[in-house]
Parts: sequence; C-alpha cells; structure tokens
Amino acid sequence: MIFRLETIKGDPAGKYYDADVAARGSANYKYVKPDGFAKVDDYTVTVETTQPYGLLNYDALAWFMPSPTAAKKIIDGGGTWADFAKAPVGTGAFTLEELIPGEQAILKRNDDYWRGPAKIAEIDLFPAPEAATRLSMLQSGEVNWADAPAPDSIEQLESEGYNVILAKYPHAISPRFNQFRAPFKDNVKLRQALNYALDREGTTAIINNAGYPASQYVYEGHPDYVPGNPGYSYDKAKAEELLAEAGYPGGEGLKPLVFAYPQGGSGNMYPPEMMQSLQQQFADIGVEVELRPVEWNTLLTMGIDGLNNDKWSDIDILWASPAAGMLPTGYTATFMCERVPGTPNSTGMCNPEIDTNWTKGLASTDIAETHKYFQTGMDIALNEADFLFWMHDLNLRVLAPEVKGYLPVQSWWLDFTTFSVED
Amino acid sequence: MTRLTLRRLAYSIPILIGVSIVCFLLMNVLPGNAAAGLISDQMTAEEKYAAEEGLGLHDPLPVRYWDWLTKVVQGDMGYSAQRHRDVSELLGQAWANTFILAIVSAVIGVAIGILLGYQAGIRRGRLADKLVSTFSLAGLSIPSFFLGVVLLSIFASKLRMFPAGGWPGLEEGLGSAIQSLVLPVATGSLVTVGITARVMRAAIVDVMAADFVETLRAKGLSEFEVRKHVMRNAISPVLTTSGVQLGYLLGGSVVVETIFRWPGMGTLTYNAISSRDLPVIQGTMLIIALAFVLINLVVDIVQAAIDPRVRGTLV
Repeated sequence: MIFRLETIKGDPAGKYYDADVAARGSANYKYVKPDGFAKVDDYTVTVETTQPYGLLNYDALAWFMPSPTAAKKIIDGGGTWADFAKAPVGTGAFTLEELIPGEQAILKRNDDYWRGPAKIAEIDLFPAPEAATRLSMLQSGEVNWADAPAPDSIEQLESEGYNVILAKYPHAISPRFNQFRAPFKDNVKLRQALNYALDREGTTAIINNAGYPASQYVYEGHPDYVPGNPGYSYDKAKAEELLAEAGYPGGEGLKPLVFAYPQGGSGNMYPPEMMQSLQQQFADIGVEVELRPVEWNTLLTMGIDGLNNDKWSDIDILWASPAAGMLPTGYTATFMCERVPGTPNSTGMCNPEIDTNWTKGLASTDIAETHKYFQTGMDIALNEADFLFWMHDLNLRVLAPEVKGYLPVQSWWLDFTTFSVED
Repeated sequence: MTRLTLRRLAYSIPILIGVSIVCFLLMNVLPGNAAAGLISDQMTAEEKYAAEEGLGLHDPLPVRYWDWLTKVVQGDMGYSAQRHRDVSELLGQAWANTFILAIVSAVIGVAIGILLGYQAGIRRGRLADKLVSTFSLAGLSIPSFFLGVVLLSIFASKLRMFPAGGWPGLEEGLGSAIQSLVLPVATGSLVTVGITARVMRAAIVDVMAADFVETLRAKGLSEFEVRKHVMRNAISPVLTTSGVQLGYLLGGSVVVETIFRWPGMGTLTYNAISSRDLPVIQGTMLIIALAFVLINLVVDIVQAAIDPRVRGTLV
C-alpha cells in the first residue's frame, strides 16, 4: 500500500514515481494529500485527505497494488514503469502469462492467491470488436463466453441452450444537456419536455430488451435511488404542453438540436439504433435533432474540454454512459458545480443546492448519512431534469452451458475465482 | 533497367514525404485530442497539461513534424503510450500478419481472376463469358462486411469447419494456419478476383481483335502458340491492377481484419484511429504508403521487362 501511494502521491522526483499512472489514475487518488500517508504497523496505514472526506475506502478499492519487488527490480535495472506494464505483477487471483495488444491476453491461475486459488486454471481473452464475430466464436465453440453479442441473437442463443445473462448493474445512458447556453440553460421546462417525450419502452423493444427504461440516474434498488420520485415516463401530451410553456410551442423557434454520440463500444449499448429511435420520438413533438456521430475519443475530448469550449459550443446534448452509482466518488465530476480544483464541468450543470448536499455527503463518515445527502441531490437533479434519463444497461453476456459458478453482482467487477468449466 | 529502378526510387522519396505531411496535418486538424486516450475528466488542468506535454502537443506543428521525421529516418517510429509498446514493434507484428493474408489473398485472387478473365475473353459472347461477367460483377458488388458475416455464420457457427477468426501463427502448424486463412482469404480475395477477371477479359478481347493475331494464324501457328502471344500482350494491364490490389491488401483491409480478428495492419490502424494513438497512426500510414510505392515500382519493372513498349514510356 505504501509503495503504491509513493508511486502516485509521493515525491514526483522520486525514483519509483509513476507519472503516467499518477496522471491517469488521478480520479481514485484525488483526495489523497501528496505525501500524506504513513505506515502505522503491518496492517495499518494512515492517509490524510485534502478535505473532509468519508469515501476513501471506496476509492481504495481501485488502488491496484503492483509488486514492489518486481517493480523495483525493473526500475533499478534501468527499466521504466512502461516495461513493468508489459509484465505486471500484482496481488490478484490470476497472473498475466502473455499479452499481445489488440490480439490476446492469457491469464494463469495464481495458486498463492491470498483468498485461495481460483477453480479455473487459465483465462484466454480475445478482443473482437464485431458483435457478429463474437457470436460466431461462441457458436463455433472457440470460446465459452461472449460479452455483448447482437441483441437480435438472444432468442436463438437461449434456444440453443446458452446461458443468456441480463442483469442490473450500475451503468446508464444519461445524456447531458448543454447548460452553458440557451436553449437548455435556465429552461427546466424544455429539459422536462424532452424527458417526457422519450418513449423508453419503445426504444427498449428496438434493442430486444437488452436494457430497461431509466426513471432516475441510478437503478431502482441502489442506495442513492430516490424513493417516491417516479421520474419521467412517456407522456406526449405533457411533453407538448411543457414545450409550449418553455417558449417553443410545437418546436417553433427551436433550432435543430445537435446531439453528439459515439457509434458503438461495449460500454455504450447500441447508440445508432437508440439515437434513431430518439430522433423520431422528439420529432413527434416537433423537435428536430441533428445526429452527430463521433469517435469515442472525440466524445471524451468534448467532455474534458467542456461544451463552453469554442470547438464544441454548437453541441446541445452530449451522450453520456456513466457507471452510474458504481463508486460514489464518480458522482462528483457529474453533479457538482464546484468540483475538485481543476476538473472540468463538461456541460455547465450547476446547482448550489446539489453542491451543498454533495459536499456534506462526501464529508460524512457515516455511509447511511452520505447516501441520504446523495439522494437529496439526486432528487433535485431529477426534478430539474438535469439529464436525459433514458436507459439502464443490462450488460448482455452469454455463457456456454459448461460454464458454471457465475454469480450475478451489481457491479462492473466479477469474481472469477468462483467459475468452473465442466467437461 | 538499373537506371529505371533508381529513377523510380528517387521519385518515391517526395511521394513518401508528401504522404507523411498530409497524414500528420490531417491527424492534427481532425476533431478530438491526441491525448484523449491518456487523460480523463477527473484530471486537473495541470495533470492534463502534463499528459499533453509528454506527447509534445504544445510544440508548434512544424517542430513536431520535424522531430517525428528525423526519428523515423533513424529507425525510431516512436512509442505508443496507450499500448506501452514501441511503434516499430507493433508495426512489425501487424505487418507480418497482414503480409501473409495479403500475399495468399492476392495470389489466389489474381490467379483465379486471370483464369476466369482469359476463359471469358476467348469465349466472348458465349455462356462462359456471361457467367464470368456476372460472377466478377458480384465479386465487386458484394460488400466484404456482408460476405464475411455470412461466411462466419455458415462455415464457423453452423458447420464448424473453420475457426471464427484469429490467427494462431505458423508455430501452431501449417494445417491450423491454413484453416484460419480460408475464410478471410475467401472474403478478401473476392474483389481481386472480380477486378482481375474484368480487366483480363477486356484485354484478351482487345488483343484477340488485333491484326497481328490473324497474321500469326496465317503463318500457321497452332492455337496454343497464338494464345501464348495473346496472353503476353494482354497481361500488362492485369499486372497494373494486380499491383494496386496487392497494395490495398498489404495496407490491411480494415473490414476483413476486423471481422476475422486478424491481428494485422488494418486492425491496428482501426484501433489506433479509434483511440487517436497518433504515433501508431503515423507509422501505419507511412508503411502503407511505402508498400504502395514499392509495389508500383516492382510492377513497373516487371512490365518493362515483359513489354519493351512500356520500357520506353517509363525511363
């Protein structure tokens, strides 16, 4: 732990300082004060934070520990952290046997894993960008697990005996309105109108129920879900009424809304199908949408630069596919107006009431109290229609019948030590 | 011939420099940020600046281009911070894999195309001609993406005759390598078959109508001897199109390689563009341009060797 913190929050001139991970992984360490950590004994470490902060234990879940022995051996021998990244050594249930970027990764069981060895001896990972390829690999028996095949194949796969898994987890499609300027700035009725205009059930049917309608930012059952607030359901009449009250009766006077979205990617569900559906639904109330498909990294750049940047100021709505509710720290960059110094406010969403609740939630060391504050903040954002509350992903994945031991969890992480493959 | 080779090689240098400049400029005017793969919305402005500085993004464009070019000339194609690998290492692996796929696809595609085009040409207007014309048109018209998915569905998913993509390498044995090649080669070579067959047919029809063919027959040459002369006169345009086809294939077909998980230049380029991995994109573009230039050079030399008329136009 101390070695990890030294490499990220230690002296930048230090021999083992990892500038690359320090920059990229800053989200999980951003509340740790530089050099603010110390070993107390073999089982205790103290960490000083930059502000009152009660969620450090959650952040620490993503503090991945490199082996000090292996890392020091490479760096002392004249190598770099980039060399270590080619053959990383950590504390996990599997070791990296081989990594060919973009082609294959082979993981071998770590028999000395501290919680006991996994059941399976090896995991072979093959990146396959095409959904049709993933489906063929599964059906041909080359692999016994495929993530995100085409939703059209669900019935076929089920009839062939495959284990099709659709389970709730913290992942939503919640596009954000550009609140730096008109028409969405200070126009809650317009934002609400568009939320009521969304026929979420209709879009769900188009993607063969590989997702389900979102009534809030997080899924129902999540600790931050707001009980008693139904959110927005499809109501065309109400949408038209609110649109008129917003100053755009029948969409009159409203320029076509520019909507930037990615063209795919496993963490984005099915953007082309979903966007065409949305375009039609908005058109039904008189709102035109100009679809602007962009590369994933361009979309990230838009978020990082912010929609008040000259380059992106023509964007009205920005696609967002957050791990909504995965770790509470992730909310801060989405909901807060006053953020950790330097981090961008992508779409200009800014509500002092939400900030107050969030700051109190972050400062509390009682997690139940933290969730109460977050719920209040979420309730405000829901009423203000700060997002286009659209869809929750069900994380479509398919396992061959011989794969056993899958434990569905409401997380992006899976415990692979429980899996086995029957002959 | 030596003079021709040296002259063509000298011509290729400004072409390569031009390609590298265009590619460099394009990557810098496209939307997005070359550091996007390295930064997140949780970074502070200082951290973001440091990540961009690491890539030299704050230097003026000409300075960045010159830095890159001088290193390339010295054999250093840069480092991919996203993949934690030297670009030359990534390109080397990808190029070797694409080379195998391209050569097999080109040889099979050109051979079948020549055979079909020849048969259609000497049987002009007959059933064989019509069948070949239809087939070659289909070869040109069927999108590779569609054909690839159909072949995967039938021969990998249903019949399980061939693997659903991937390349095990030659280390796994020749049988395994051939099995992995069948579907991507069938998909990738269809266009080559179509183009080559059409060009070959047209050339054969042209040459067959030439006066010298009648002269050869009048001199009493056998039909086999006549067709040898016809073939020699008709092969020149086929060589040109085959060279272009090989250039495309060596550049790596993004569609074929993506569908069949072929770890080659097409896949590498696609992934690099998606993630704005600038050093890799520049490296792949340069290698693809180099492949085109070299192949055209080879085609010119072969054409000059076969046809003295062409030699005069090239020198």
